[in-house]
Parts: sequence; structure tokens; C-alpha cells
Amino acid sequence: MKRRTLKRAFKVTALVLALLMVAMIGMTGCGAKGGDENVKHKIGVILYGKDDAFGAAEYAYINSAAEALDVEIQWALNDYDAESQLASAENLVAAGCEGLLFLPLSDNTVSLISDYCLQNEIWFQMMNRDISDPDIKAACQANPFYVGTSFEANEDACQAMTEMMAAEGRLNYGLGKIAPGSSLAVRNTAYEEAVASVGGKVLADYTSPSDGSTQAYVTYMENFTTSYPEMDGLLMSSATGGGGETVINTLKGLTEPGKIKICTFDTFEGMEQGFADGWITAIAGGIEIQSLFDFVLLFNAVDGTPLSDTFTVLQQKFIYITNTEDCANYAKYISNPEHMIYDAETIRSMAKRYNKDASLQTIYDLMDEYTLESVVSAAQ
Amino acid sequence: MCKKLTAIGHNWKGILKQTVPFLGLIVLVILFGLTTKGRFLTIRNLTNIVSQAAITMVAAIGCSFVMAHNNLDFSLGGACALCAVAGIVIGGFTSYALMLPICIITGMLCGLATAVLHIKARIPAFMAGLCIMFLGRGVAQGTYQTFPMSLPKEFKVLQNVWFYLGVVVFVFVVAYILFEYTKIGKYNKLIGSNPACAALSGVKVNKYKTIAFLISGCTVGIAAFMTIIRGGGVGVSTGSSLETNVLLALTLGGLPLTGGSGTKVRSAILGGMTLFILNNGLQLWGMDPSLIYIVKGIVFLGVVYISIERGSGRVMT
Amino acid sequence: MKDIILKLENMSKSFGPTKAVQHVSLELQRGQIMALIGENGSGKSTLMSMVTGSLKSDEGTMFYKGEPYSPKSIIDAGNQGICILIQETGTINGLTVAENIFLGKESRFTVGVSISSRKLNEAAQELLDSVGAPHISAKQLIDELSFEERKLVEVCRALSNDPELLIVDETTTALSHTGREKIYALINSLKEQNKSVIFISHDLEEVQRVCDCAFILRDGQYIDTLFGEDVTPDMMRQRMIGRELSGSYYRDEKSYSTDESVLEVRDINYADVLHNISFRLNKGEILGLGGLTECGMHELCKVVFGAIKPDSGEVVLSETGVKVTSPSIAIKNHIAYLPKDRDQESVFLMTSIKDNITVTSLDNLKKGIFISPRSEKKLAVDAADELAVKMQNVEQFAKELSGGNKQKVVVAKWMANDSRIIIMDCPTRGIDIGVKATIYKLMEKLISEGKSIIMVSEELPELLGMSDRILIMKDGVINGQFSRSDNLTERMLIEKII
Repeated sequence: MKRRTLKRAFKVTALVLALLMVAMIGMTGCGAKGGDENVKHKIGVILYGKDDAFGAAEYAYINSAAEALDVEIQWALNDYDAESQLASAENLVAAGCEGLLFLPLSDNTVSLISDYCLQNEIWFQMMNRDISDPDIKAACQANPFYVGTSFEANEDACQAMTEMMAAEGRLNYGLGKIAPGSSLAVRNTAYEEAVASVGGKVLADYTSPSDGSTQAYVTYMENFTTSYPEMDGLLMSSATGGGGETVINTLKGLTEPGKIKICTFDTFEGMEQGFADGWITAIAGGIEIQSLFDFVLLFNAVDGTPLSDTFTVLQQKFIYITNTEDCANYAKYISNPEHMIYDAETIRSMAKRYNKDASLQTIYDLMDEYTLESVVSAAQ
Repeated sequence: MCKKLTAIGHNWKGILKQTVPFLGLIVLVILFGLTTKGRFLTIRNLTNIVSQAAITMVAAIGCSFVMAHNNLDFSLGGACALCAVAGIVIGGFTSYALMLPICIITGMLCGLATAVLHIKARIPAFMAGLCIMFLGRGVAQGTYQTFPMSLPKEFKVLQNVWFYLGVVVFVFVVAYILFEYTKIGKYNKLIGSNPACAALSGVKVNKYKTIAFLISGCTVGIAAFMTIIRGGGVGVSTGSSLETNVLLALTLGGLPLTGGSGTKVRSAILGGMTLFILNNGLQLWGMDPSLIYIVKGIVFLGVVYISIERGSGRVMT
Repeated sequence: MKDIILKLENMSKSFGPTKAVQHVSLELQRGQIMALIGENGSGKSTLMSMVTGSLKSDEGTMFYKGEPYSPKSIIDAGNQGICILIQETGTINGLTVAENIFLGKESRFTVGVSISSRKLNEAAQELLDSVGAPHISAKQLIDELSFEERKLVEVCRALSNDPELLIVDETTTALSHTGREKIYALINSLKEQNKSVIFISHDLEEVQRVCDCAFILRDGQYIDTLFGEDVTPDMMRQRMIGRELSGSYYRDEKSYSTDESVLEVRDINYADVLHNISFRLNKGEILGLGGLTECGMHELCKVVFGAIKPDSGEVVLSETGVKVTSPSIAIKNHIAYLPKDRDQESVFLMTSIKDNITVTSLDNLKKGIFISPRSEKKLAVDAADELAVKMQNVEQFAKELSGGNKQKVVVAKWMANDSRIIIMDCPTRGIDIGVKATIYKLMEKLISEGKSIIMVSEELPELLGMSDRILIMKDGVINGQFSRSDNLTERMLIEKII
């Protein structure tokens, strides 16, 4: 009996071993190969996922940058809380990554990873986030291994879109806010300031529903058109989760085209038709590209040639879509995963290893040039 | 005849079931030790794994009391969030020294609530647990924007492996004694084995089920405190993967899903380590993140296949 | 010329080191009713499992109606005309009686693309009527039926295949008197149709009454076949055990009964099941409780033990005046209860013998809140040794024991707790003769020590053989009371039962 048992236990062990071996052989392709002239660096990237449009775009840009710079990249996806992000950071460092690029889920995560990188002398760079907690911000900025972060220029975009509205003579606004507490809530106040600067007036506001239901938008639009017949512009902080389509479709049933026009952040399905029918003044988008600059900044630091003695904060400009032609270009050159905005040569020009003259200014200049027109002409 | 067949089947399967969790762990350690160019078997990496697995192991230890009497506790993640929020918010208003006791009390209240819903209102325990989970999640999200939820600086000193290891060892030893040498563990195992028989043998079934939920709540409270330490505070998604991790760990550790006498607290430790070693090792290999999910799924399925208690599957005439 | 329907040659089957069946050959004629008897573990069920295709034999060949026969499954065997009635219930809740009877054979009633439930019900009702159960409606949900009625439904299911050979595996053990009569009638009618029956039973009186011959197995080996006049309980018992049973099978005539009351049951009413039940239990006596299975005696046991709360009335310990209202109070006061349904209610199957025995004694074992494993093990080993439980060691799972040894473990559990009032609900149900005798001896020993026993039994010889007093219940009331006497006969009891 005993012997039989042991035999069977042994068989199962052997089977498990064999299976894992097979799995492992499949993996060996991924193993690091030492470079001859220059060391091939390894950088870990922690991203919440690559299944939505935003995540997929960042995933693609970062991979294209890694290829151009000849860096090995190791991804950690699908972490949704601070402990998991920290665990991934630990595991990536254990796996030999010399730098970490991450999209923090909260200020707490920043604090944890910052401390961890300080203890282990690992370079780290964030993307798409400013730090709101002042203590954490100060601690992070004092960390010598903090390379930098980037976030989008929300205030500029609010100002620009409000001005476009005013240029059409629209000064009586409805304001679509984002729930306070969100990192995007800066748009609420930025809009208000922009409205004041153009001499307009906010008649009423709503807050985007956080549960993803679109029914609320219908009610808001009905209330706005009934109570404020003089309203001629709607400034929206977000159009995600079907918000954009719902607002336009609802307005179609309530009023004439062009009586009220909207401007908003986030591109959405059906915006082309919205422009064609005269419902939209402007849409701001195209900010996913910032992850590429973040990656390059980090690469320079890891390669021993940091572009700055201290941390760097990049501001990503928005791209403005103002007509159907812009929509087509946006779809073809920016939100198209097949098309990379910057080619390998341009990416290398920002890295000291490939371009002795590379500096922060090189990056600033490139980011400054970023408009829909420049992307289109570069592609052509 | 049928009895004899299963009896013999049971013997080798029983031994197999007991050895698989150990074997699995050893095989993983050897495998990763040999194939990661020495990265796996470094002190730093091993301490990382312990820190990563500690929260899951502590919650799983308590949960095994509930599993022993054949119930699933789905409240873990939400309860953990609730405890963490209560601990850090109330601690913030009073004294952060109270954080741990508040977490534990909140956890035990969650356990009590699950037990009352389950026993008095006769809602299946996992449904009652789900209610608590949603409640906890809602409260965590609601309060997130209203209160500061960062870990006070004085507690940063606890962010090291000795603290996590110490808590795990302490909780395990206490739980092991309760489980093996007192009525609490023995009765819960017997209730899982045959509730009718337990009742007719004078076991106060509801009382001991409630105690199991209280213990589970207590360890969730401790786990919540560790989450605050490890997570540097409380976030919207604090504890979000706890119930899956605990369930995975206990299964990988060889805990029978139907409870009963085969239940062992050591499953929490074995399984917790296996789960996080697997996680760590696969990342050290540099495996594609989406493949990691698939591999974990396959390993999990294999373990369940070996360890699950199947019905007799008898064909009727 | 003998017309052989089933012939087994040199059948063997092993499970690991256990040789369950060794070189057994058997011949069964058309129209013959053969008893297959032997103690538990003698290989009866294994042999029949090979015949019905649920087990493959290691060796040997089978012939059915003269052709080589090797059924692939129990369903295959059924289709060829060999059907089995098993010990446990095999009906599926949530289906109607008719659906249960024709499970898997619904296609017989296909009209166009759908199944005609009218035809299905009609055919089922016909079968029910033919087995003497016209009170069961084919359209009823199976859940509404009693255990016994479900057995009859299973009988119908077996008959729906129009079997040439019916195997009845300990089915009658679970049935009451009337239920058994129905099965006997059925067996006789099959015989008249020149069909064959293999009848497995522990009840040797029953075997004598029903069967033409008895095929006897012991330890997996063929021992003997008895025919006609030779099929007597004594002959069979002797062959099964392999030695002469000395002395009386039940207890000695010596009485230990006193007039000192230990327990009083006062005016119990419970739902529709029990009405105004009162009696007292004396020190040192065995109080027998008999009746049909649904007469309320099983529920009465649970009421006395505190597991069922009666609508009115009380159970009081005479000495202390303590009222028994819950199992834990009962146990504290040294009352023990051995349920009828062993696997469901009295044994933790996937649990060690040790834990099975110590469950009621943990309070006595603990020091502070801790229970020392050593004292636990000692208690279990002592109790198991005392009753000579056949086992490897106390860590073995109870599931692996035979029915009789399981019952010994249950008794051991209560002995370990020093029980003084023992409620036994069908203590020898499904237990083979050797262990039965041990249990009877044990009961005698208990009363000799001044303990008291309430014994529910569905077997009249057992009631007559063991009890100092017998209470007969009918429809929830006590319908008759008898004292032990040589003049008491089964007939006198039956008059009060029905």
C-alpha cells in the first residue's frame, strides 16, 4: 500500500515537473541576452491594463520606444490596489529591472514605490499623474531616484476650448463637472476660470455620474434646455462611458442643431457625425503619447546619463479636433495602433546614448510641436 | 463493494492530497531556484515574497475555521476594506495607537453580521458574505474622498518583513492551537463533516459556526491593519483581491472545499506561499502578464482536480 | 432439464490486497428464488456488482441465457433484463413519480417530438397498481413520498424494464412490515412468471420464508448452497459464521429490571406525529418500542433526546427533575442516542474513529480550554478496544468500516461518555449476524450495570427477544403494552401494530 502510494505521488510529481519544464522551455526565449557593446537595460513598467483604448495606446507607445532604444521591457499589468502595485514593483526589481515606470493608482502607491526605490537604489518615473498629497509630493521630490512624471495640461485645454466657444459668440454655458476627488477634477475649476476670462457665464452645472449610467445625462439635458433657454454652450469635463453620444442624441430631440454646442475632453464614438451635424465646437484628446516621453526620460537616467540633476515634470498638450476632417486625421494618425507618431530616429534623438546633444530641451521642443497638423505633416 | 472501492481509492488519494501541497511548494522553489539565474533564491526576493503573502496568509488562517464547517466567506475583501477605513478614520480622530484594535473589532462585527444573517435569517453564508463585501466596498469608496487615508509616518517603521513574518507566525500559532487542541476547531471540523450528526452529538452547531465567523473576522481585522501598513494607507480598491487570493491560497494549500476533518490550518501558510511564489517566479521569468493568468489558472485547476472531493457518481437503475 | 438463466464461472475480484471475491461459481435456474447470504464483507455486493456491470471482474466468465455475458454498465445490464434494487434510495427529488420510474426511458412515450406525459403517467400508474401501491399517484412529486413509498417506486422502475432476473439488495432492511409484504408478493409473482430473483438479506427468517435456496459466501469464498427444507436460520447462520452459535442468540432470561424510574415522558404531543405519549423508563430495563416505521416511534426517540421540540409535554429525569430540552442537556445528563440512519445522523464518515468517539466527551477531557491529544487518543483506544471494533487504528476513517463496526464506534462514543440512558433506534439495522450478537451481548451488559435502554426495532423477533417491556405504537399513540413473557408471540404484537 505504502509503496504504491509513494509511487503514485512520485508519478504526479514527475508529471507536474514535466509540465512546468515544458512551460519553462517556452519561456526561455524571453530570457535576457547580454549585449556586446552597450549593455541592454531592462525596465519594468506597471500599468493598470492594456484592454481599454487608453491602456492599449500607452502599451503600444512604450513598446515602440523600447524597441527604438534597444531596451528590454517587462510588463506588470492588472494590478488594481496599492499592495499589488508594490508587489509588482518588488518582483520587477527582483527580476533585474533597473528602472520602473508606473501609472500610480493613488498617492499611497507613489509613496510606497518611492520608498522602495530609495532603499534599493532604483530609478523610477511616473506617468499621467500629478501627486496631490503635499507631504507625499515633497517626500517623492526629495528622492534622488525620482526621475519625473508627466500629466496633461488641463488648464490650457479648458482655456483653449472656452475661447473657441467665445469666438463663436457663445457665452452662456452649462458646465459638466467631474466628481471631486478625481485627479481630473482640476478641469472643473479651470473651466470656471476660463469662463470668467472670456466674460461668459455658467448658468448651471452637473456632475458626471460615476456609475457609468448614461440615463443621468438625459435628465441633465432636459433640465438645462427647459430651465435655461438662453444656454448656448456646454463645457464638458468628460465624455467617457457613452456620455458624449448620449448628450448629443438627447439634444437632438430637444432643440435645433447649433442652438447649443458642446466642447469636451475625451474622443467618443459618433463625434464625426456630431461635427457634421454642427453639435460640437471642439474635442480635446491625444494625450496618451506622454508615456513615450516618460519612458525616454527614465531610459536616460538608467543609462547613466540623466537629462536633469533633479526631477522633471512634463506637461502634455492636448490635440484639438474641431471638424470632420480633424476627426479623420485623428483616427488615422493618432488613435491608430498601427501608426506610431514618432519614428525610431526621433525617439533616439531624445536619448544621450544615441544623440550626444540630447537634452531636456529636445523633449520640450518635440512636445511643444505636438499638434494635429504637425503629426499629419510628419506622417506625410 | 462500493464502500471498499472508495476506501482503497481514499487511502492513496488521501496521502496524495496531503503531500501535493508540500510537493508543489518544494517543486516550485527548486524550479524557480534553478531557472532564474539565482534571482529567486536571494534573501531580498524571499523577504519580498513573505511580505507579499503575509496579508493573504493571515486572512486565510481565520477563513479556514469557516471553511472547516463547510461555508465560504466571501466577505473578506469588503470586510478588510471596511476594517481598514474604520481603523484609519477613527484612528485619525482619536489616536493611531487604536488602529489595530479598531480594525479587529470591526472585523469581528463583520463576522458576527455574516453569522447572524446566515444563522438567524437563514441566508447562505456566501450570500451574507457578499452583502458585507459590497457594503465594505461602498463605504471604502464613499469615505475615500472625504478623509485623509495615508499611513501616519510613525507606522512606516513597521513596513518591513519582520513585522509581517511576526504577525503571521503569531496568528498561525494561536490559530493552530485553537484548531487542533480546543473544541472550537474540533467542533467546526465535525460540523463540516456531518452537521446532523454533530447536532445529535450535542454540538451547539450555531454557536460554533458563529465562533468560526468571529475568528475569521478577527484575522480579517489583523489583515486590514497589515494592509494599511503595507499599502501605505487606504485606497478605493483596498483589499479588492483578498477573497480570491484567500480562496486560491487555501485550495492550493490542500484545504478541502467541503470542509470537515481533513481541514488543516497549515493550508493557509502552504497555499499562501505557493500562490505568491508562483506569482513572483513567473514574473522573474519575465512571462507575459496575460500568460501568467493562464498558467495560474492551469495550476489551480490541477490542484482542484487532485484535491476535490467528488460525489460517488453512482449510476442508478 | 434445468433451464439455467445465469451462470457464473470462477469469478474473482480484488481491490488492492483485499480479495473481495475468490473463484466463485454459481448457477441460477429460471423461476428460482435464490438468497445470497453472508456476513458484511463476505463479497455479496461485489459479486452482484459484477453481474450488473458496475464492476469489472478480474477473472472468470459469465453466461446469461446460455450466451457469454459482459455488461458494460448497470444500464446495459438493465436493458438485457438484469435489474437491481439497491439498499439506499436512488430516486431523484424534484421529479414526479412517473418521471422517476421511466428515467432515461422517456423516449418510449414519444408522440411526435414531445413526450406524452399522459401516456407516461398511465404506464407508471399501472406499474404502481401492480406492486400493490395504488395509493401512490404517478403525478406526485417524489419529494412528498416517505422512504418506504420511494422504495416501491424503485421497484416499479426495476419492473419497467420487464426483468428476467431481479436482484434485491438488502432492500427490505429499510422497510416496515407492510412494505416487505409487498416485496414478497412481487417476488412470488415473478416466480410464477418463471422469472428469477437473487435476494440479499441479513434477515434469515425472511430468507427462510421467501427463498428456494440459499447461496452462502464467507470471506469472498463460496461455502455452500442450501436447498428447500435446509434453508433454516440456524443452518444458514452456522454456515455464514463457520461455527456453531452457542447459547441463546438474544439475551439470557435473567432480568435486571427494577422499579426505580430514571426517566419520565409526560404527555408528549408533536405535530401530527405524536399524541399524548406518556411512559416511564426504569433502571436496568430494556424498553422495546415497536410499530410500523411511520408510527412515530423514530420521532419519539428524538423528542426524548431533546433533538425535536414537542408542541407540549416534557421529558424529565426522575432523579434530578432536569427537563431534557436539547441534545446538549441530554448528553450532560448521560443520555445517549443512536439514530436509525447511521451514515446520515450518527457517524462522521470522513473523520477518524478517534474523533467519532471523542465528540461527546471533549468537555470531560479538556483542561482549561485545551484538549490534550494524548488523553483523547487514550479515551478512543480504550473505548474501541472495549467493543472490539475491527480497525487498523483509531486514526482510520469511519467510512472504511463495515456497518456493524460503524455501529460499534457509535456505541463506543456513548460508552466513552458514561451514558446511563441509551436510546437505540434500530440498533442492528443492516448489521450482519456476528456483530448483531455482539450488540445484543453489549445491551445485556449495560442493563446488568444498572443502565437503561429504550430500543426501537422494526424486527419483531428482536423486540420479543430483547425487551423487558414492549410498547407498540400506532399512528402516534401507544396502542399496546406487553411485559416480557414466554407466551408473548409475534401475532399478538402484530394485532396491535396494524
